[in-house]
Amino acid sequence: MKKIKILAVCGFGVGSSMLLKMNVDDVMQAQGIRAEVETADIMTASSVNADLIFTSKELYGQLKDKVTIPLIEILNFMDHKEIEEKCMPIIREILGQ
Amino acid sequence: MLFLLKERTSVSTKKIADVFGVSSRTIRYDLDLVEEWCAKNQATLVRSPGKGVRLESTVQRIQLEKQLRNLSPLDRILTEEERVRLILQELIASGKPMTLDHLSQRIQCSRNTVIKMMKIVRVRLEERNLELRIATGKGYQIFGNESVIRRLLFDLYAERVDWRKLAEFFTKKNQQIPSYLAQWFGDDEIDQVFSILMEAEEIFSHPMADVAFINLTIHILVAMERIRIGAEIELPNTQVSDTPELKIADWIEKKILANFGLEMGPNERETIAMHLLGAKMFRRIDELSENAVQTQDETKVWVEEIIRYFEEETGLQLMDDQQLQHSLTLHMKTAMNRFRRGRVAKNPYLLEIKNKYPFMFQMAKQSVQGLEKHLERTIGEDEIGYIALHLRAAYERNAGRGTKITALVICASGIATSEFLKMRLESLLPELTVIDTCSVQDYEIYKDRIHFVISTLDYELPGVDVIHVSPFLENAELMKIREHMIQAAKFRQISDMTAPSKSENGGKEIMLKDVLHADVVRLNVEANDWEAAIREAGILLVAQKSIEPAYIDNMITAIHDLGPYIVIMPHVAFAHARPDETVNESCMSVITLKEPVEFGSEANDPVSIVFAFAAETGTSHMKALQDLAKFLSKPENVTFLMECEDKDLALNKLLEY
Repeated sequence: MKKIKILAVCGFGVGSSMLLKMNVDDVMQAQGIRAEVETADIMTASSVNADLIFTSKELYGQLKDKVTIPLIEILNFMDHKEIEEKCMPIIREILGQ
Repeated sequence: MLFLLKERTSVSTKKIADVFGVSSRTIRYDLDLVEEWCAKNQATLVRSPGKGVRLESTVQRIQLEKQLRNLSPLDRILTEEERVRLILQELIASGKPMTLDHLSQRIQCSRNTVIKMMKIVRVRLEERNLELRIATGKGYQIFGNESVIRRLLFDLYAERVDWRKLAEFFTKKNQQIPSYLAQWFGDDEIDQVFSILMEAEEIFSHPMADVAFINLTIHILVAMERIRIGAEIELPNTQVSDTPELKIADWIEKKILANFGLEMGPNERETIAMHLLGAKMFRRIDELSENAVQTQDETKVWVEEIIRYFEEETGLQLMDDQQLQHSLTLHMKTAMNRFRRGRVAKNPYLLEIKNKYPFMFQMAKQSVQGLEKHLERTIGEDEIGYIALHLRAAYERNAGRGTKITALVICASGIATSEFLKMRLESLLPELTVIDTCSVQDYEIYKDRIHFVISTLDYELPGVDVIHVSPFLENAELMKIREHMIQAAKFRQISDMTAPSKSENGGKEIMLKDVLHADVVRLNVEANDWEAAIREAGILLVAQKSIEPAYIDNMITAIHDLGPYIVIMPHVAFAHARPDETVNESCMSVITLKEPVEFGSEANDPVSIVFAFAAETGTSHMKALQDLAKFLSKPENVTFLMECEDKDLALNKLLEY
């Protein structure tokens, strides 16, 4: 199975994106998806190679013109269910399932 | 010819080609036609070697000009392709059936030629799901989806457009409207539509990329042409209700009605709105597609300049590094706008970049000297830092040093094959380190040291990519491995950036209990607004000297700049800013509010719990955040904290994880 590269993006890549990353990690693990989740700040996010990006509602608008990979907007960073519902269809598509 | 008439001295073909935006070859070919025409109209085309051409005539220039104006574009030999296009254009423009006679007259060729052309026309139409119907006694007519017909018409026009010239025209208004456009739509119409869109851009602050702008102009001109003959467009599939684009479209529609007396209607409005929305997308495609580089020529030039400088200094061949070209172009495109406006994007890694990669930083600084001169501005260190990062990534990819990409060769069919494969790999991909060859069973020993596995067998391994190849390594397989290497290098770059540097914090992991204690927890705090709430949380950290007061301002500025994204879940704000010199140590505080405040977060307001967090560079604080994430992932914990009246109870709950 292909390993998915995921980027969690916030303003500086150290605080909230880290929290988001942890929850994404949890969801990936629970779903049995092999994924590498990294954090990045909004300035460098667009030049990082990844399969999809998670970010907040506020940063979504600033990122969406800059990236060509799927961009997922998360309202509640701590909500595993929201993360799962929003990303699984995309991940399945990437994995060709 | 008009141009030649005005120019009384000799002009070179090169110059004429430049003026018309075509190749010199085309001009030479056209000049033959000009000569032919001259012979019939008491004029001569004088060719003087080394100087160029000039028109001489025995009659008045004015008279010649008149005769010229009567000339139609059909008055010359057309190629088959041109005829096909013209027929398509004629059929679409008429909107009614056209007879063979009528067509042959318009295209100025024999009925037989038209019949021959119609075969190609039919194929062209079928390619687009359009139908060519023949009604006896009436003639040919195109049937199909109106939006498809418009797209075809648009393409017919767009195909012949020299985008670069057109972009020049649209951006610098003083230039003449390219003749072919004027010929299709008329100067005045183009000019008016153009002005309407310019105004719309300004009124609604909805700037479009040049290509998108030109596209929309042509789309509207095409739409107007179609409305005039009574064609109606279908409602687009995706509707764009309530978008700002629809408001702009509405405004454009009113303007068109006022200027041209053309009634557009809701379907047209939706379509224009779709195009406006599409203009955004276009900018993106634009950035990626090599065919549409016109609009970013300037950026490209400077990106090349930076890469060239870097190449000279390092002796590496980097111009072929598509990834560097691409990522640096993307970066510079927005960066150039910042430079021009004198704005700076703060670089959170600046200190680290300067410490870790002083050589790259210096290099980046020198590589933009030309650009600085050109812009008459100094480019700040923050920006230099970003460029240095891109260069550093390319350096690692290309020099094969630093982030070394390692692979393991696994082979079940015996040592011989895997050794052979390893040798092939080493000679063909010297930048890849093959750490060993082994059997599937031994894989575990190496798994932490490799980026991926290369194998002659097609199977999967937990936690690692397996690239399946033949022992002889075909080209496609080599490409596949290279792709994996690039991916791995790129991703490593980021991990390295955020990885803890041992010298800074001794590799010590900070747990939540290390940062949260009674002094940094306060319950039922009074705060009037979100800024006050952040200050209340931040001041606890200032009191224990973990942060400088400026960090509090930084947290607030971040929200002003980037929005309330730090309200990470309902009722909880996680305020923080970039790690910099205002942070003395990784720390965290938490307050609960007596009265909740609004942060402006649509999804998660009102906020009752505010964390203030500061991190040193690196990931030493990971564990603490992990603990906190566990705590926050249970909604009942959040409720508990919100309602808790006892500080010790709250702290205990927080540290349970």
